[in-house]
Parts: sequence; C-alpha cells; structure tokens
Amino acid sequence: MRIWQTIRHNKLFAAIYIFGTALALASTTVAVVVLNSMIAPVYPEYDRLSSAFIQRLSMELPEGGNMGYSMSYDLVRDHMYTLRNARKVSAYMEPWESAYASRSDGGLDFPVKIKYTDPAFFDVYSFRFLAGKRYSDAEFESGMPVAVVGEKTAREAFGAGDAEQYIGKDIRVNFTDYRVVGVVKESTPAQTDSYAGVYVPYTSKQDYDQAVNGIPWIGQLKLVTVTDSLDALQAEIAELEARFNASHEGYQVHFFGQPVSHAVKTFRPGIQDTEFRLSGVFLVFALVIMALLIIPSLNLSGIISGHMESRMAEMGLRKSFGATRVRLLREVLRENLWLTFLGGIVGYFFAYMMLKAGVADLFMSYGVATDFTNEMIFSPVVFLSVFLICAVLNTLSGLLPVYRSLGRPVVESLNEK
Amino acid sequence: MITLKNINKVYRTKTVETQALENVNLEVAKGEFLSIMGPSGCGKSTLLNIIGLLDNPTSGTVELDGRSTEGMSDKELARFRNETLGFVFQSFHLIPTLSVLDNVIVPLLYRRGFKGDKKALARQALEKVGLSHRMNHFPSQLSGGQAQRVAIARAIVGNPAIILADEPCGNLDSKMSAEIMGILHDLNKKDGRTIVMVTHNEAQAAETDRTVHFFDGHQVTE
Repeated sequence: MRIWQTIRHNKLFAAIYIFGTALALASTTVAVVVLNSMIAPVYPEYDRLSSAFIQRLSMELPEGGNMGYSMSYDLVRDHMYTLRNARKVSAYMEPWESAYASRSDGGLDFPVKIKYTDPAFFDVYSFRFLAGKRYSDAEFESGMPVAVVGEKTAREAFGAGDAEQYIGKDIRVNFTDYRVVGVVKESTPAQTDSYAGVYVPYTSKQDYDQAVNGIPWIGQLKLVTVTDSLDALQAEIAELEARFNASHEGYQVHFFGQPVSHAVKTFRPGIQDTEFRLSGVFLVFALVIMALLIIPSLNLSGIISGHMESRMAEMGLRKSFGATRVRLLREVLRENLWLTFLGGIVGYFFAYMMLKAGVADLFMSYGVATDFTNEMIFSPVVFLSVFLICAVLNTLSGLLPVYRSLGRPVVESLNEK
Repeated sequence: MITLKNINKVYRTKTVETQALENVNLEVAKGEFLSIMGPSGCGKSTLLNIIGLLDNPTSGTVELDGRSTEGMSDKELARFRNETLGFVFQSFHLIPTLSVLDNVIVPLLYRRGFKGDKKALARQALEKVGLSHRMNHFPSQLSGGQAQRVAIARAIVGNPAIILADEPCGNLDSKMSAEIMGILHDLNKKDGRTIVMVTHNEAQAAETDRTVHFFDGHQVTE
C-alpha cells in the first residue's frame, strides 16, 4: 500500500483526513509548545531541570501577625551565597513598578522590564553576549550604574546598529543613567525567570541592603540556584530555618519547602501550598490533550469507517490471497499513520502560525504578550510529543473501525461493490 | 488434489434457512481442468468459495493437496490459501490504487518467509499472460480482457497448485473470453495446474476435462 497512490486515488478522503488531523493537532501542538516552553530548557534557561528557587518567605513577628516578603541582603550574603549544595547561586530583584527607558533620539520613553541582579545571574542563565560582557564583581561591589541590555531593547533605545556600538553608551531607565557594558541576545517574556530588557547590579539600588521594616531576613531579593541535589539543598535550607527559629525569640521564619524546582515554581498556585504535586498538573494537561483529541478522533473514525466500506472488496481480495486480519489491520493503520503524519506536519505549521499570531496568550495568566521563539516551537520534545499524539490519534480513530470492518467474512467483503 | 466429502452449506437468518449445498461429494485429480455449471443460485460459487477456503461448510470435510482443512485456524487457512490457491474472479477485483505490477505482487506480500524478487516474479507472470508492456498502468487504463489477464497473472504469481476461477469470462465479450480460456488451458496443459472453473457457458465447459452440473444445491450430473 503506497501512501502517494492512496492520496492520488482518494483525494477527498485524504484531504479531509489530513486537514482534520492538522486542525486537531494544531491546538494540541500549541498546548505542548506552551507547556514545553514553561518547563523545558530553552535559551537562556538551559539549567531549568536543575534550577531551584526561593521566591518568598514568611516571618511570624513577636508582636503577632506575620509578614510575607522576599529575602534581605543580609540573609543572602551570609547564608545563601555560601550554600553548600548549590553549584551556582544568584540573587535578584524584580520591581513591581513599571520601568521606562528613554530613547537617544528624544522620542517617547518606552516600557522596559528591568531586573536588578548580581554578576552570577549571568552564570546561572546562559546568555549569549553579542558585545561586551557582564558587569564585573568590582562594578557590582561598588554599586556602579552599569547595565547589560537585551539586543531589542538596545535597538529601541539607541536605534538600529551593531551590538558593539551600544557598548559604553548610557541607557536611561526611570531617570537613572546606566552605562551599557554588555549586550545579550534577548530572550522573551515567556521566560519569566530570566527575561528583562535591562539588567543592572542590585547594589546600584539605594535601599538594596535594607531589611523591610527592620525585620530580620525580610527584604527584596529572590534566589535562583543550580543544584545537583534538590533534596540536599532543601534539607540545608530547612536546617537554616530551624537554626533561625531556635535563635530568634519571637520570630519564626517559614520557607514553605523552598527551594523548589523550576516546574514546581511555575505551576504551584501559592507559595504556601506545600502539598502541591506536579503529577496533578501533568494529569490535567494529559486530560486536556485527550479531550482535544477525542472529538477529532471520533470524526476521523467516521471518515475511516466510510473509507473502509469503500475498500471492503480490496480487503476481501487481500484476504483471499493470504492476508490475515492482523496483517491487514497493521497495513491500514500504517497507511493511516502516514496520513496522520502529513496532517501532523500541516498541523505543526498551523500551530506555528497560531503561536506567532499570539494565540498562546490565552494560556498565559500574566497578560503579557508571549513571543515564542523557533527554538521553543521546533524543539525535539515538541516534535516527539506531536509524533506520539499523531500515533495516539491514529490508534484512537482507526483501530476500532478498521478492526471491525476487517472482521467481515471474506466472501461478504468480496461481494461489496 | 481436491476432495470434498458430504459438504453441506446452510445459510440461516432469524426466520429463513436456505440450503445452498446438500451432501456434495467431489474429487478433482491433480492437473485436471474441471468446470462447474448450473443456473444462478444453484450453489456453484458457494462450492468454489468452500474449495477456496473463503467460506466454511456447515458440515463435511475439504481436503486440498492431501491435507484436511478441518480445524485449521484463520492464520493457517490464510497461509494455505496463499501457498496453494490462486483466485480469478468474474469482476477481476484489481485494486484500483495499485499499478498492474503491484496488483500482481499482492499474493507475494503475504507469502511467509519469501525472500525472492517480487517484481521479477510479477513481470514473469505478466509476460505469461502477454501484458508485460502494461505493468505500469493502472486498472482503470485496461480493457476488461486485459484486467482479467492481470487477475490471472496475480493468481499464478505465487505458483499455486490450484486455480479457482469464478466465471472468469462472465464480464467479457467472446473474443476476450477466448483469449482468457486459451490462457487457462495453457496453465493447465503446459504448467500442469489443477483448475476449477465456474461457468455458465456450455462451450467453455465443453473445452474442459470434466463438467459437473448443479441444481438447487445438489450435484445432478457429471
């Protein structure tokens, strides 16, 4: 059975099959790409699978009540930068308020995402420097107003040009001038951990070392680490938590099981939800994929069933010359699988168009435009997933109608017109 | 070569029972060309289907090439059909999406352990029926006679000992019928194949070694 001949002789069937499959697979591919871009290693977050985060902690206060916030500089400096079970450690701040950058040509300021980081941030995340380099330890220690900027942001601020040309220029963000020391290939807002248009040393922020309301350990810094053993790292933090609680009368700090993996951080609804299990998310995702596949599977089943009716005589003929039911089932499913794969390729293209058109925004709760890169859309994981989805769709839609039609007696099949 | 003993075939529905064949006993010798005649609905094709292991008798036994087919599994029956039997149907049953060559190859696709050159064998079979020049055409591009010759090539490509032909000339004009009968006689005389042919045509039946007549499921004369 040759696929091209089948298509040539069954144009309508093939067209409906391929187009129907493509539409079904487009939506599932979008879902897979979105999920994959959230948890799989993509530029510059190649260490996602071994990353661990501490975003917030909570402090019970002597006077009653508690305060939930990020970490103070003291805590980070004294305990976090020296974690034994982390290969890399970086602390950073993400201001809630909007930031605006000026244009060198005097045009209107434009919104920009700014991150206050340490130099290690560029070790944890594998940014590709197009020009210059990260700020030095000395620049960081002295709180110099220097910046690493994303290529797109640089272009918007300074106009089109070679990345080298931006080095040494000042970029003004929220009325502060930062000297550009490095230009990186910009990631996308979909990478919420690493993305920013402008990165500056958090030491350049005036109050970076101030504990909030003078409460110990409470400040503005978040932590990202790369670890070989999340369990060991969590145990180390738990030990730290216990030590603090034993030595600070009236205060009780809670890390809520942090640090947590990138995937847990992404999907956990609240920091205090310590019972959260990733398996639940994947189960829901699998159910959504199945739901997206069931309706097209039923439709395809109907089409295949009709098509098998028109091929009854052929099946009878093949049986009369020695084909078994199982052999024919395999052949027909394989033939359908080729059509499904063609549908998969078209569906992948549809998904690409949908993602580029911003359809994935519907999946995101951040309200930001998510710019999906080709790396995210055409990753091996997505390819493999779409391949598996094709196989599942093919089996779901084809197995029953084909098996049933092949169960007809040979003579009855041969007499079908 | 073919031995049928006490073959009965009854078709049953909820309300009706139809006796298609009743107590049929038949022997066909190796290398014999047998024709089966009778009016429509007398059970000729049913008998041919039972000989061809395409249908099961309600009772009775079928022996082919010295082997009883009773109790064979579907897989064994399929293998036996593939290796021992070749079918020629009235309506040709060529697969429209396959070329002539690929149609002829079909039985070889299901030949267990076959390691030979399928295309070469198919070409040889087509040469035998005088159609090697049309092997890349599709069934829709053939005349009725040519289509039936392709069907014969397909029936013989696997070198079966027995060819079963169900009204092979039923859809052909007299000239084409003569061609087809010529080919069948060559396969019988030159290659020594056993042929059982169902026909309505007395002249064609007269050319065969022996004719059996059926009426209402009974074998009436020989």
